Formats: sequence, C-alpha cells, structure tokens
Amino acid sequence: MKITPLNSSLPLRNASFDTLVEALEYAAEGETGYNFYDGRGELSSVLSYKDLRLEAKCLAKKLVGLGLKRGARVAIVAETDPTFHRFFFACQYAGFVPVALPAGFQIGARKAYVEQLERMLDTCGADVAVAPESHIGFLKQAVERLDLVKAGTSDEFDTLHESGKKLFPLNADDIAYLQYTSGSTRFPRGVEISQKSVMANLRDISVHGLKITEQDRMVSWLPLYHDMGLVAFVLLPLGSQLSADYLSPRTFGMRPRLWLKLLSQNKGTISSSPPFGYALCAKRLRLTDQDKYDLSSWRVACVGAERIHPEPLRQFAHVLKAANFNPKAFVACYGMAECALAISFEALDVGIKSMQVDKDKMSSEGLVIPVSKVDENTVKALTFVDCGKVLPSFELAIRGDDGSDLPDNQCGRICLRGPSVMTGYFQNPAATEESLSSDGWLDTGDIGYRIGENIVVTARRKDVIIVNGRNIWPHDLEYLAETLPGVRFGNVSAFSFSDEKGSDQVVIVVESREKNPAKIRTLVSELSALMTENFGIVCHLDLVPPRTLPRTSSGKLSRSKAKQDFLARLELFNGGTQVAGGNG
Amino acid sequence: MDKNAVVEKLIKLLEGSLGKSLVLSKDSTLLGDAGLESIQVIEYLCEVEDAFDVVVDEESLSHVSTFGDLASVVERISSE
Repeated sequence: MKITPLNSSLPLRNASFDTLVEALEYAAEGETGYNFYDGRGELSSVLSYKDLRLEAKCLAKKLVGLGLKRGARVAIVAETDPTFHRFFFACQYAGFVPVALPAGFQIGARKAYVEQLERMLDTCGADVAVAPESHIGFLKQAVERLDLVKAGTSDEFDTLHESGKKLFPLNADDIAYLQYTSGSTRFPRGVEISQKSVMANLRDISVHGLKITEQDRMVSWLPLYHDMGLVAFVLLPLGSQLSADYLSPRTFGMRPRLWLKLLSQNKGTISSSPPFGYALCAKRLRLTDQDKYDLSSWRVACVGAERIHPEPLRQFAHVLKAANFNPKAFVACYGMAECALAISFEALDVGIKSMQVDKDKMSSEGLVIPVSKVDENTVKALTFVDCGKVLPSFELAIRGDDGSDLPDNQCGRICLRGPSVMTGYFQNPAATEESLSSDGWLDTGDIGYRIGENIVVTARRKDVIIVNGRNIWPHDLEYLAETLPGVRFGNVSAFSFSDEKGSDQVVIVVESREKNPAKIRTLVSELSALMTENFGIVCHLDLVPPRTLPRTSSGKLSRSKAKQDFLARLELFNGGTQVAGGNG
Repeated sequence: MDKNAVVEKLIKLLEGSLGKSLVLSKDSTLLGDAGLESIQVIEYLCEVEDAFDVVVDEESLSHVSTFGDLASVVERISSE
C-alpha cells in the first residue's frame, strides 16, 4: 500500500465548484486522496479520489435500489474509516442527505450512547443507517424501535443489487448534509447545510483563510462527525485536490505523539485542533522525543472550537522548538456548524495575538479597555485572543441587548449574514426562528467584540460548557441531577467557569433541605459519581439551602446569576484569591 | 495470570500513572470510584493496551464499568 502523493497533477482549483459532486469529479482526475492510519500509527487504508468516485457511484446505485425518496436521510456512524467517505459521497451521487453520527462514547456508557444514537436517528428521520464493524452492535440496538429501511455494516450494503436507474446527484440548491454538533444530547438539533453554503465556505477558507497551494497536505485526528473534522479535513482537501492523512480521535487520545509523527513523516502543512489537543500533546511528550520529529513543514496549526488561552499553546511551541515547530504557524480561528465551519481566521504567519483587558469594565459595562503592562498588577485583567478577520463573504454585526449595532471594542452578541449561513435547523422551525432572522442574520449566541473586521470571542454560546473540546449542555447535567432522589425538579443550576490555568471547571449548584452532614456527604458523592459515569467529567458540587438559587422575574433559574453568586462565594472562601472568569 | 492478579496489575498501572496510591478493588468503577475523567480513561487505556499487549475494541469497552470488568476483557482478548 502506498499513500496518495502531495501533488494531484491537476491545476489547483480552490473549491470553485457548485456542488460536492463536481468537486469530486474534478479531484478524481488527479492522484491525491485520503490515507487512514491505525491505532499504532501504521497505514491501514488508502482511498484516492479516483477510487472514491468509482466506489461512491457504485454504492449510490445500490442505495437507489432501496427505493428511497430523493432527500432521504442516510445516517453514518462516523468512525475514521473509508466507510464514512464512501457513504457520504454515495449520498451526494444518489440525491440523499448524509448525516454523521458520533462514534465516540463514554467507557461503560453503552445505554447512554445507544439512546443518543436513537434520538439522533429519530430526529433526522433516517431511512438508512450504516456503521463500521466496531459500532454495528450499538447501531443495531439503536434502531430496534425505529422504522428504518435498512441498517447494517458497509459489507451488508455491498451485497445489495445496483439499480439500473440513472443517478441524479444533489444539485446546488439541495441540502449537502445535516450536521449534529449543536444542541444537547437530549434535544439534538441537526444543522441544515446546503451545497451553496458549504461550497462558499470552502472557497473562503481555501482562498482567504488558509491560502491553499498545490504544496499543501492535511493531517487530522479530529472526529468526522464534528464540523471541523468533516468540513476542514474531508471536504476542504477534496475541494482543493489535496491529500489528507487521518488518525482516529481515539488513537490521538491514547497516543497523541502519533499526530506529530504523522505530520513529520508525511510533511503535513495544515492541521488543526482545539486548544486541549495541543495541551494534551505537550503534556505527553518526552523531552527525548523532540528531535524525532521535524515539524518545519507545518505552516498552519489552526486553533479553534473552544475559548483559546495562549499559555498551553506557548507550552506546546516551547517543547517542540527542537522539532522545528514554528510558533507563528498557530492560527486562531472562529467558526461553528451553523456557518458550515469557518467564520474568521487570524492572518497567517503571525501567531497568537492576545490582549489583556480590564475585567471589571468588561463585566459591568461590556467595555473593552486594554490593560497595559504597567497596570497589570493593579487592575484585574482578562486575556483574550484575536480570532482574526471575518471571511469576505460574511457581514458581521455585534449587537446589544436591544438589537442595535455596537461600535468597536464593545461586547455584544456576534451576528453574521452571508452565503455560508445554514438554511435552518432540520425540521425544527422554533429553534430556527430563535437564531435566524427573516432577513438572513444568524444570531450565533456567542459574545464578543470587534476591532474593525476582526473578531474577539469572549464567551461561547450562552451557557454551553466546553470540556476538552466537547460541548456539554447545562440542562443535560441539571436533568441528570434531578433524577436523584432528594433533588427536586428545578432546584439545580449547572455552569462552568474558567480557572486560573484557563481550564473550564464545571459547577453544579443544588438546593437541598438536608441538614444532616452524613447525608449531605452521601448526596454529594452520589451526584459526583452520576456526573462522572454519564459525562466523564469531574464537577464541583455546591449544596445550598432552598431558595438560594437566583430566579428571573418569570421564576426561571438564572444560570449567569447563579454563577456570579458561586464565584463570589468562592472568592470569599479563598480569602479573596482571584478566580479568572469572564466566560459569561 | 488469574483474574485477581490482572485486577491488581490494572490498579497498580493506574496508581503509577496518577502517581498516588488508591483504595480500589475489582468492584470499584473506573469513572465513579477512581474518579477518572473521560480523557484520563483514554490515556489509561493506552497504558493497559501496552502493558498487556492487547487492543481493546469499542464493543467490549461499552460493557466495562469496574476494574473486574476490565480485567475480564483483557483476559479474554489476550487468550484469543
């Protein structure tokens, strides 16, 4: 087996196509494609664009033979495996809509994972579902109560007969795929991305964000069911005729150094990660390892998907200096599935640009007042990273609570309009209406400020809690806590704060009438075990007397107020030690 | 190696990687009792795979809750 080469032998086209099928048809004329590496970092399969075109068309005819309607949803349990790519593109040729389902799960949490798959299959109205051998047991269990035309492994689909009918690929006005990254595990929402949206975003990224050339090669360990994994490392290399090399997320989690090894041996030039990936890698690196790698080819190391703290990145660059890692390769970026993927990129060859702002002015008035080196010791400061210039096809507005446009250096809701914005949440008009206005403006729910056309994100997504790059929705934690005897419905508030190291700490405040110290201890340990077993996170649990949690005038719990109160208690407890906050 | 010895080795491995001694038995859960976060579980799994020279598949992992369960999985895979 030989990996696909760096050069495609075709003139570079930066995603200048109307549809994904057009992009594949062009790339298939060249030599490049996808390469998959196993848990030990050995090459396990190669899928050139040429082979992908052939296999996807053949599979498309088999799917058409099942008699599905145009636009039918085909769910793919997205393990990092050629199965995903084959089915995703078979859908493009057959006129069906692919939906990537998560392939990661919590150890021992079989039930929770199967339920999650079932809810997703149900909300997207999947007719067909496929899983690799490793996940077929979960999928078969998840479809038991659903009415699917077919669910099976890739081999089971291969035995189907090809239909003799002509294929009608998805066209420019059709949906390209549904993306489940937004929303909670209990109420999953599928983002609807059209061919036009994704192609516009790919062009923006290829031409303006990453300035892709024929000399680029992509390397990724990101999950394919995540927008960054799918759009940046499956669709972007295809749209730009580049080769891409994959490790699975699990392989990366277990052996993060394989990421560096792959970048080094294949001379990768573009690879991305949420900040935690860089931190994990730095932590697991042995000093004696450094000269094993040569990372001089790595020109773009994107950082995104969660709030960026500069320190872990500095650490990563420091330990890999001997491996020729260039700290200016870091590119802060901002994006979300609702905009296909990318919204802004910092300029290339600049590195991370961070700024310190006055914490009190920001939390009280939303004003951005820079703190100079001189003031650092007297003024409480928050550090933010510039996420760069908004891609040219977007219009950006920062809006105040009254909907008015705010000037530079003032915090408000980040709103965007442009061709890459989603058409809506699939079959969910209420959720769509909440975030998308009739004149096409998307209210991202994120908070930030602008400096000209540059965006600085100060808090992500209203209440979402991000732990190691994973989004956790507070109401999922609250709901789980409420299932415990002794905890009443509506008496729980979950949120996160950022500690002095910049990591998100999860807090659950529970109102309880319990006064017996032994019983309180039991309740706390039960709650704590429940959270780790279901979400794999360690929480700070805070038991408070009834009617302590702040409520809004309509009686709803206010998470932001609960967080303020908690931080005040913590500061009191720590004798005034400052807790770095600012996440909302 | 009998199952108790495997459990003991599994716990020793974890103690080694966390750098502290732990009061755990075959019935302790990885997530609840040992208090590991999901990313730590993945790191730990890597050490287990290397120490026993096995590759643990997703299906088997999904049934693991305690160190005893993990020991059974490791034993089964290494005897295959």
